[in-house]
Amino acid sequence: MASNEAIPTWEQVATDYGRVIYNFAYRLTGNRDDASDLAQEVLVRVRRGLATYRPGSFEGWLWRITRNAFLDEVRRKQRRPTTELPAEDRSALVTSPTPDDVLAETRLSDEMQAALLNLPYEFREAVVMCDVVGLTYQEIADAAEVPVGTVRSRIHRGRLMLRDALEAG
Amino acid sequence: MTLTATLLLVTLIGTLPAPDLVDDLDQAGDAEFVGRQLVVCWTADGVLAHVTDVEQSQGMTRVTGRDGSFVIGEGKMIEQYAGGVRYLEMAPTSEWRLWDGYAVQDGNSVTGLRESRTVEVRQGSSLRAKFVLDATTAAPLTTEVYQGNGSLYRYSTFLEFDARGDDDMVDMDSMPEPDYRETASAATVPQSAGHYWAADSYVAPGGVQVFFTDGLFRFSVFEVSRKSDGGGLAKLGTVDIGGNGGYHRAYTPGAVSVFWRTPDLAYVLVGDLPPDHLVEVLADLPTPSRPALLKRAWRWAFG
Amino acid sequence: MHLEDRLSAYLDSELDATQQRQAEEHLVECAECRTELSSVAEVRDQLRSLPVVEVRAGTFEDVAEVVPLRRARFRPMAAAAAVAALVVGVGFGVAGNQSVPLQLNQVVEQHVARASSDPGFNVLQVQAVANR
Repeated sequence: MASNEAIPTWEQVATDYGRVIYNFAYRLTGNRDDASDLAQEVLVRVRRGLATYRPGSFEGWLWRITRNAFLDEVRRKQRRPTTELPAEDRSALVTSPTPDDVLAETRLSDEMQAALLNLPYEFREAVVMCDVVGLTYQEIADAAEVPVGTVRSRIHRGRLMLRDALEAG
Repeated sequence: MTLTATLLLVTLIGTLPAPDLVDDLDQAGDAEFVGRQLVVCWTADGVLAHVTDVEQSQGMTRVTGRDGSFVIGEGKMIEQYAGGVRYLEMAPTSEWRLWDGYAVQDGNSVTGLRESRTVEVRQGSSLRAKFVLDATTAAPLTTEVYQGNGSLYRYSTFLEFDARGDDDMVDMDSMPEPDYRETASAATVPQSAGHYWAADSYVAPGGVQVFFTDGLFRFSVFEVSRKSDGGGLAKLGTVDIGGNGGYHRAYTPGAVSVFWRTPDLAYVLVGDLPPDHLVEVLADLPTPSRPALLKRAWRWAFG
Repeated sequence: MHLEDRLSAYLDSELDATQQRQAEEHLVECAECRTELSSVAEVRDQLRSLPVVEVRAGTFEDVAEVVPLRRARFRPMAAAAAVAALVVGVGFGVAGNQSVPLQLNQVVEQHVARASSDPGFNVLQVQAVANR
C-alpha cells in the first residue's frame, strides 16, 4: 500500500538522488554549470514540495519536478545547451589506468554526449530517463505526463537517431 | 535383439550424451569464421544485451571490443589493448566430459542465416540449451540457454557470419612470455557444488581459482582474502540468493559474478551458469556470514 | 510487419510474456529486425556505460547543509560503477585502508582462459570477457 510509504526528508533525497539528478541534468545539457544550477533548483523545489507531498509514486513526483525544473531553467536561460565539454570535466571522466583507455572512453562519451544534445528534447529526455536514470516506461510516462506508448516510441526512435548520428560522425 | 538388450540400449540413449555432441564440439572448435554476435541475457537486474565482433581461426577465438581485443583458446588468454598485452596460460587441464544428467538430442534442419541444424540439451524433462549449428562448420550460430522453469535466460545469435579464416589472428612470435598459472589447491572450496564438479585448481592473483564444470556450463570460484574489496562488486549492495543474504552480484550478458565474505575468507564466483544452477551451487559453497544474520535468526527463533 | 519500437521495449523488459514470446519468434525469422535489434542494443549499451559524473563539490551547500553525497541507489548508476570496475580493475576501498584490491577483470580473464581448454564453443566463453 502506498500509505505505508515513508516520506523521505529532503536531505535523504539529496543523498539518494542528488547524484542521479545531477547526471540526468548533465546528460541533458552537456554542461556542468547548468547541471549544478538544475540540481540545486530541484532540491529547493523538493524541499518546498515535501511539505505538501502525499504518499503515492515518489519517483513519478520527483522526476516530474526535475523535468519541470529543467524546462523552466531552459526557458529562463533562453539559450541552447552547448556541446562543449569543459576542460575540468575530462579529469572527472578519468576512471581508467592507462592514458589510452582514458582517451578512448572520453572520446566515446564525447561522441555520445554530442549526439544526445542534437536529439529533439522529448527524445533526449526519454532516452536519458531510461538509460541514464534507469526509470521504467511507466515512471517516465508519469514524469513527462504522456502515455506509455508514446514513451516507448520516443525511446526507440531516440536510440535509432543516436545510432544514425554516431554512424555519420 | 533380446528384450533386455533393447531396454539397455533405450536406457543408454536416454542417459548418455549422444556422441554427436562431442564431434560437434570438436568441429566447432576448428571452425573458421568472422562474424558479429548479439548476446541478450534476461537477468534479475534487467535485460542486458551486447554486440561484438567475433572471429575464430586455428582454434583461437577473438572478440573485439571498444578498448582492445581478447583472444582465447587452448587454455590461453591474450588481451591486446592500446597500452600493451596481457598473456595468460593455464597449466594442463583435465579432460572435458558432459554431466550424465544431460541428454542430447539432434533436432531439425533449419535455414536461417545459413543452412544449419539444431541440437537440444535436456536436463530431466526440461530443455536446458538449444544450439543452432552451422551445417558445414558446426559453429553455434544461435544458442539459447533456459532456466529450470523453462524461461529463456541467455540468447546469442550471429547477425553476420562469414565462414572464412584469418591467418593473422595473433603473432605468437611477438608475444611476451606468458603469465603461467600453476595448479594449486583451495582450502575451503569443496570438490563438487550442485551437480558441478571441481575439474582443476590454479594459483590466482591473491588466492586460488577452482574451476567447476558440468560440461555444458562452467564457473570458477576464487578463494581470496577476506580483506578483498571484491573489485567493486561489494559496492553493489547485497542480494539474497537461495535464502542466504550477503551476496553481491553483477551480470554482464555473458556471465554472472558473485562476491561474498565469510568470517575467514572471501569468494568470487564467475561463470556462465543459469540462475537456478547458481542457487544450487551456492548452497554447497561456504555461505556468507555476517552478524546481522545471527541477530535475525535470534529474533526469528525467540521473537 | 516489423517489431519497431517493440525492439526497445523487448530489451528494456517492457513487454508482457506473450509479446515477448511473439517478439522472439519474429526475431528468429526476420534478419531485418535482428539487425535493428543489434544497433539499438549497441546504442543502449553505450548510453548505459556513460561515465557517472560526480556532483561538483558545494553544489548543495547553497540549499542548506547536507550530508555528503554518497552513491545513488539507481541500477544503471550502480551498474556503471561496476562496469567501470570491471573495465579498469580499479579497486574500491571498502574496508578501510587495509582492504586488498581485487582485479575483477583478471579474475574473469583467468576463468575464461581455463574455460577455453574445453572443446568447441569458445565463441560463447569469450563473451564473458567481451562485454565489459
